[in-house]
Order: sequence, then C-alpha cells, then structure tokens
Amino acid sequence: MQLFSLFVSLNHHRMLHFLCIAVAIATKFELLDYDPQADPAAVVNVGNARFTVLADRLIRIEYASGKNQCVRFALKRSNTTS
Amino acid sequence: VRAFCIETLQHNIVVAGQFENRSTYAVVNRKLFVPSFTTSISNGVLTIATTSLVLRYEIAQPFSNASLTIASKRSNMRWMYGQTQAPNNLLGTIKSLDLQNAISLNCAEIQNVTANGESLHCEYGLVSRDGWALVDDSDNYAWDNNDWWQGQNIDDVDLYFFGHDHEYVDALADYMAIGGRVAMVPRYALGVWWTR
Repeated sequence: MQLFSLFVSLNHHRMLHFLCIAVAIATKFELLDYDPQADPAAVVNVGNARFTVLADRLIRIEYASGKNQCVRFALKRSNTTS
Repeated sequence: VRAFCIETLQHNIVVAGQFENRSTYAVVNRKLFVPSFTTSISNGVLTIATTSLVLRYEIAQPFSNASLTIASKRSNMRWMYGQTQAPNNLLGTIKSLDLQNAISLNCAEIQNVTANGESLHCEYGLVSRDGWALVDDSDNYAWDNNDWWQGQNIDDVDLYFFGHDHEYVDALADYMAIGGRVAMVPRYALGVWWTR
C-alpha cells in the first residue's frame, strides 16, 4: 500500500489513481460494501423456518430441514451434472 | 448419505447455522436498514406485520398454501405458498432474440423454444398487476468470502417475496438493494453505439 500511495503522490493522473485502487482491492471482486448477513433485528426464526424482513414490502422466506442438508446437497449436485 | 455429509464438510461447503447466510448469484446484500415491523404468536400462528404486509405462518408446519400466506394491508393482494408467479406478472426478458420472430416473454409459453441450441433462460419480472412477484433463490449458487463459487444454496426453500402492490419503482429499488447496483461504465466511455 505504501508503494501505491507513493505512485499517487508522484503522479496525480486520475487513471493511475484508479489503477492503484483497483490493484489494492483486487482480491475482492465486489467494489461496494455489501454484506449477505442480515441484521439480526430483521430476522424471525421459528424452527425450520426463517423470515427476514428486508424492506417494508420485501420478505425473505426460508425453510431448512437441517437433517436433509447433506442429502439435498448430493441430490442437487447430481442433478446439475446430468 | 453419511459419506456425502463428510465429503461436504471437507470441501468447506458451509453448513454453519441451519440457513443460507452466504451471498448467492442473485442476492449479495441483506444488511439493510431494518424497517419497522411487529411479530406476534397466537394459537400457534406467527404473524409478522410490516407497515404494508402481513405474513402468517403456522409454526412447525411445512410450508403449504394453508400454512404460509402474505397479504397486503393496502390492497386485496394475497399470496399463498405454492403460487410461483402471479398470473399478471409484467414479465422479464430472455437471453437472446437471435432467430426469433415476435415472441412471448411469458416463460410458460416459450418453454420449448431455444436460441442457437440453448435455453432462452426466461425470467419473470419483479412486478405484477396482481401486486406481488416471487424470486426463487433455492437452487442458485452461493459465493464464498472472496466472491467465488462455493456450492449451492443449502436451504430447502429460499424465496424473496416482493409484495409491492403497484409501487413498481419501489420493487426495482428493493431488488437493487439486495441484488447489487447495476454495473455501468461511464457514459463518456460508450462512444457511438448503433444496431442494424
């Protein structure tokens, strides 16, 4: 990062600045600060069902019978390779 | 079955927690401003009420059209589990228009149509005249922490219910909040585009 900063200070060209930023974050493809983990305050979990209130009119609905997860994974994988 | 479990764990397919918490191909962001809502349980029925929607679920039941419903507080819109798309969905688009004449975008009507030997990958729209639309993420792929492929969604069912009534623009905005902003190059980089 120090090296990148040096480049920026020596050369104020805008494109180089962008290039430095791009290299610095190259390990992550997404540039924006997304987080797949919902705020716990938005989550209602009852047994095998989970509801996440993402917005006033947008609700995520999940059902996960944990004991079947491995089986399900196997089944799905064989489906997609056929 | 047990062998598959062990193999699954060894390949770091995350089973931590019972539900899918990773990003998926369609949904990358779930940490949003939490809207005001209330929850209550009476006679074994869970009720979640936001300002606009009321969800009812019979606790401990598998999902069915009797055990899971959502209704709008602002209209007659009502959805039952099992309804996959509204009859008056305003439709999405297809992968390619190659070799097609005028074509329906109703996915049910073009199931056997292909372009260059491939499926049209028809998708329904996010809004409907009925006031609701559904995005089924159950079979999508999930990403790891470095945004790379990491197995399929581990949920049995993973749905996103859009109950926007006729607030179509809000529906698109909400989708962008969870699906991510549309990548756009700067306008000055586009030059002249034309098509014949």
